[in-house]
Amino acid sequence: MNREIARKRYMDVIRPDVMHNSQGDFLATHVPMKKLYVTEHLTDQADVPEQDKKHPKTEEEVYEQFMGEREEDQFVLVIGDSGAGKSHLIRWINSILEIRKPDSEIVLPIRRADNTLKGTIRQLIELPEVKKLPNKELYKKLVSATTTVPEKELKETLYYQFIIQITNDDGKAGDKDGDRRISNVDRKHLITLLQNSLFKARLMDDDGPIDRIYGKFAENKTSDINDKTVGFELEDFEIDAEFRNQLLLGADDKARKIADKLIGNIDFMNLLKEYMNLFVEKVIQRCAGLEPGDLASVIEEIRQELYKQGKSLTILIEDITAASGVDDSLLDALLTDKVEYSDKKMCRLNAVVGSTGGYYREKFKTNTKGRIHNFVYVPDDLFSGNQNGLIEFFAKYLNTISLEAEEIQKWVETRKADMASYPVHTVTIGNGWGEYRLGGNSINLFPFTKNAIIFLYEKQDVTKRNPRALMREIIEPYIKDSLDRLEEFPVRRPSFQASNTELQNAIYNDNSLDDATKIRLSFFMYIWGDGTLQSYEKDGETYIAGIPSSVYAQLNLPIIEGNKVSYEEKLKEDETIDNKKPLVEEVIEKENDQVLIALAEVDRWIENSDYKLSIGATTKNVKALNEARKNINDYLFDTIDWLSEGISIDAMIKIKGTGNKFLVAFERQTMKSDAVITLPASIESRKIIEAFVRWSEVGKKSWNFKNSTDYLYRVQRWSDSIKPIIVKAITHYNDREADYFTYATAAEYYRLILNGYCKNYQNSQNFTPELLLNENPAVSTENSHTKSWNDLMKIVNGSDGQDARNCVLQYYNLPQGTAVSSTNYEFDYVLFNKAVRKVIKAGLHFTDAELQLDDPVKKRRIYSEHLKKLLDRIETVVKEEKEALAARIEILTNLVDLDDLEEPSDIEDLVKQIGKFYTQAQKSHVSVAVHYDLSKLNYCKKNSAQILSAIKSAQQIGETQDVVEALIRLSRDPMQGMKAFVELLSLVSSDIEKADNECESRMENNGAGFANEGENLFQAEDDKLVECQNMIEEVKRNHVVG
Amino acid sequence: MFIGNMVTEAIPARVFALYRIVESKTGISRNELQNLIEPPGIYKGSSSYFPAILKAADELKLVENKDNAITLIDENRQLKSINDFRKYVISILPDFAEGQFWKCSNIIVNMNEKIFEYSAISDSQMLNYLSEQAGETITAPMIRGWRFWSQFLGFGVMNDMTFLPNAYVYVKNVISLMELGKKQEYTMSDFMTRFMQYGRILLPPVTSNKNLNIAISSALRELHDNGEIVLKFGSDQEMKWILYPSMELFNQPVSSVVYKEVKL
Repeated sequence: MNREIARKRYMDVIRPDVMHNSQGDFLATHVPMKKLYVTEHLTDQADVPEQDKKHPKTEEEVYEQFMGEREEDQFVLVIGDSGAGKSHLIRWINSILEIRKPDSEIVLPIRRADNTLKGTIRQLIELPEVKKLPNKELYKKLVSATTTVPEKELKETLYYQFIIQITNDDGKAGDKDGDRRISNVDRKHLITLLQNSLFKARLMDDDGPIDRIYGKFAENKTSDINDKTVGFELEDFEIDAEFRNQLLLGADDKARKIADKLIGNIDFMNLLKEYMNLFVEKVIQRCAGLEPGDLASVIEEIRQELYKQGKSLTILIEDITAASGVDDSLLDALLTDKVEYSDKKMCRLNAVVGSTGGYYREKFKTNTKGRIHNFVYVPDDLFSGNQNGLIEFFAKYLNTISLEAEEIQKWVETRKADMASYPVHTVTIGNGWGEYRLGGNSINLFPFTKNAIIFLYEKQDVTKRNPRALMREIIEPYIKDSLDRLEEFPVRRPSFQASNTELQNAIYNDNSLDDATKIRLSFFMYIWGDGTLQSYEKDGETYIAGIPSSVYAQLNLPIIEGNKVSYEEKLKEDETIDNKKPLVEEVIEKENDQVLIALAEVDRWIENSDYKLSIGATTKNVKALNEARKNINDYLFDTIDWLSEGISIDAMIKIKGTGNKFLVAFERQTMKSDAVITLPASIESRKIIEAFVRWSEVGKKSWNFKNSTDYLYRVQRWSDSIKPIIVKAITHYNDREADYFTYATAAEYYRLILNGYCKNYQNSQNFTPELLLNENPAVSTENSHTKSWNDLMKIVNGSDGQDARNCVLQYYNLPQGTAVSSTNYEFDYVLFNKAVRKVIKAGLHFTDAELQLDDPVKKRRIYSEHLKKLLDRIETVVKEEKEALAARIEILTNLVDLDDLEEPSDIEDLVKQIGKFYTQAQKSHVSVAVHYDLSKLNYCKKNSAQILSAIKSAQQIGETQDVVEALIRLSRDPMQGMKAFVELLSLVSSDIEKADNECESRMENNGAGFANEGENLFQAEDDKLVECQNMIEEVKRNHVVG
Repeated sequence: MFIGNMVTEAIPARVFALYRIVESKTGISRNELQNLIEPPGIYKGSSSYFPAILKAADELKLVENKDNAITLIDENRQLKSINDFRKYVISILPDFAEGQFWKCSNIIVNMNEKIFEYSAISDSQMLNYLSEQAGETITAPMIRGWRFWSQFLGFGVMNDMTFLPNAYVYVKNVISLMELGKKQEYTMSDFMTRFMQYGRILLPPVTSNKNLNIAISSALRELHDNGEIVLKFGSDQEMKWILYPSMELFNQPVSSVVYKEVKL
């Protein structure tokens, strides 16, 4: 390469536009076409019949067959896929015609140019033969068709022209004898839809149908060759629910109806698409101001003029799509046989027209197709089986970009483009990269080598092996890389499968190299080199993998040590390999695409320290990586024998069940995740990722694929190496052991206390592990506890409490699988006992700092949070319970000296006295007698022991400082035990007072009313009252303080 | 499990848990022991697994039942950790060479890559193959029981129900039982003779062609790659064993082994 010239020239040569479309460059890069098919009929699929494929022709043979002198009119259609080289062939024919044609042959070449109708007409009006047309009106019409109209305005015109055409249609799109294409109702609805501003905006959008038609008609806005059929596509009519809803806001009823009809109705969408496409040609003609027959008239007039001059005409149209809109009438004119219209006196016409297969199939009318009997088919894989031609193609382009335009021009002008004097550039960079021998010359292949050209060609999809695609997708980008980023060359990473892993292992296992260099070197040696570890000496220079050491130096790549062989041995070996090659190619299985795509992405990630591995998105390549990450995690969770590693299944599930918690994540991955192990962007990680991608993509989720044992080994050794870290991480965070079993157990003990299962214990230190291993269901809150106690009970018995209980029972259970809900308990009793005893020993007390509330794993943290919720409330509950109890005790103390209540019989005696009081009240007709309730008294007598115990317990609780101990005592519900007794004494206390007052008042009444009468008429009652009063005094004296 | 039919219930962790109770409460009654493993207050299983677990512990000569008192057979054998337990079981495996577990292990491990063709070891086709090879009917529950012990003993790992051979853990234990001298080089002939004292369960019935299966080859390669042993190829040595073919790992015929140190 001549770097300095190439830098300014390569784009002009590779992407010629109207301005830079040099004949010299064309000739300097032209490689003879050797595989052209000639046929008289194409198949229905626009293919060449098999028998005609048996005899491929060279371009010279094609020229001889069609371009020789002849009397009859002829029409030749050059057909082939986009980019195959049709235009190139027609251009070559034109070049040769210029040299060989007789003077009487007038050649009108219509270049593809920018591939628009306007561009084509512009070329026409420049032709001297057209300028001299006698029909001046027609010429003016052509000139006016090329007038530039602002894009927006022209697009609007195009759009409204469709509406006008459809409005004036009868549903048959101008085909009077044809069938109706759509119903009148649908047509009217379609017009309304087209008039809707939302729908219009959609169709007018960039890359929408109007934009595409505009691109074909007026201005090709890209630098790409656009030889596709333009018109409406199915998706232009795809309406989803959201778009329909938007339409509903302002659309006419008719528009809504047709929108509804379009939703999910592919047949109807197709119908509209096809119907609209019937108007494309007419719309373009209207916008260009041309009549269908105008171009035909131009051709006809030229032919008539030339006839007069005794000349004949050759028209070469590189691409018929460049006449979109008038193509049909143009073809018609070119197919018009002078014999059939002898009265018109037209000259002989030889037309050579290029068209893609797709355009021929879709746009050529059936009767047009029937009139064509000469086809030259340019196959897509022009270089298939012609490796030399392929390399020549590359070499000529590489040479042309390195030559000044003037030098080429000189070759064309002074040497008539004679290949014998083909100019060759002076190499300023790229010595050692290899050469292509052309005649007596050698053309330097930098930035390619022969190996690289063949590899990159074969790497191309079969539909992209045509000259245009090779230029755009290989030659141009690699030249650009070599000019701009030689120090990183090769920059691109086409996926490849190393058939011989010896070289890759040698590179990847070389610890002196960083990973990015390893990958770059590996790509270079496999693609540019021969992919072997062999090294040999030639002309005093060392070659490794077939590349001289100086080339490695140019790229600043290290030179690895190879297996030494002699140059002769190497030559011999290459010969053998070459001879065997077809056989080898058949044997090599096609590498899985997903593997290659994923590895290419991984390589990029390893090499570029700022590149984020894009996982979690939906594009295909990263999907395989996303899967790989998931599969790595699943593999580890599944294959680690957790119980044997001393990890409770419950502990493992806590991590496995956490959505964003992964055992393994990738360094610099786009998706955030909390992972135990981060796979660094390294070759080692690549190996692991590759194994999992193969397991999924090649083995279809099995290790049943070729060489799987090596991949499996990598995975096994790697997982064995990280197992200790993972095992530790499962049960630890921030270097602390996650102790959630302790919190769950403490919470469960609190639940048991509050539900009254620990009544018989004095304090928690006496609890046993076995206490936990009973059903222990939640009990009712119908008790005499305070509201705060019962609220807490509801919390402990709620779902969090149940979770904690489940954790306590499952943590040391040894299940066969990974279920943590089995009630077929098989306990690891020793460990369970030890762990629970630790909790008991801690006395159920925890400070916030001890609770591990910062555990990032929520499924574990819930136990800490639940326990904290309980601990935060317990003190208040105990305080309120104590206060409530104290209030009751105070009632009692006000009435009784509690120290006198030593035995249950003391209570019974007191109750007996109270009974007597009420009996006396009855006898004395004191009103409080109505409160005499024998059953209540009997209840207290019967439960005297319990009452006494409750009183004593309540007194103790008041003095208990430890909240847990107090809670345990409170769980006996002393309030409930004392309740009846406190109520009884309270009642008696007030009744005594009432009775006392009543007696006194009666006594006073008695004294005031009858004292003067000398005798007491109520002596008996008086006596009873006195007796009653005495009794009250006695009760007071004996049992009531004060 | 090791003498009669394989069972799913007697998984290694349960057998070891039972052993540990007996170790701390020697002479415990059978009923008491069962109640500790299957707490009656919460146990809701329809049929108890305890007899199967006790039977496995009995087969492994860990405990014995005398007059309804369960005691350790060897008070001096102290299995402090599950790793000790593994090594102990590996040491007495040769006693069960006639058992179903032995037969199935030997067949499965020597299937090599063929094992990857089955999506699960309990596949009916796989069971047919095993039954045919073992000469007795092997059922799905039996093979599900096998998986726990084969994984525990380190023949390979279980990925769901697929067995992935690599006997790194097992071979490491066997090597530690072989009591090799540090940094000493053993001819492959010597090494394999010592290995076979404990490790026959994984070797094919006929070893005359000196081919090693995936499980043992991967184990030796992993030990070699970890620096725990060094595999050596010496063209002058007569006896060589052939590792399972690999494209990228140590792939020469092994003529001797240098023992460095294995860490259990």
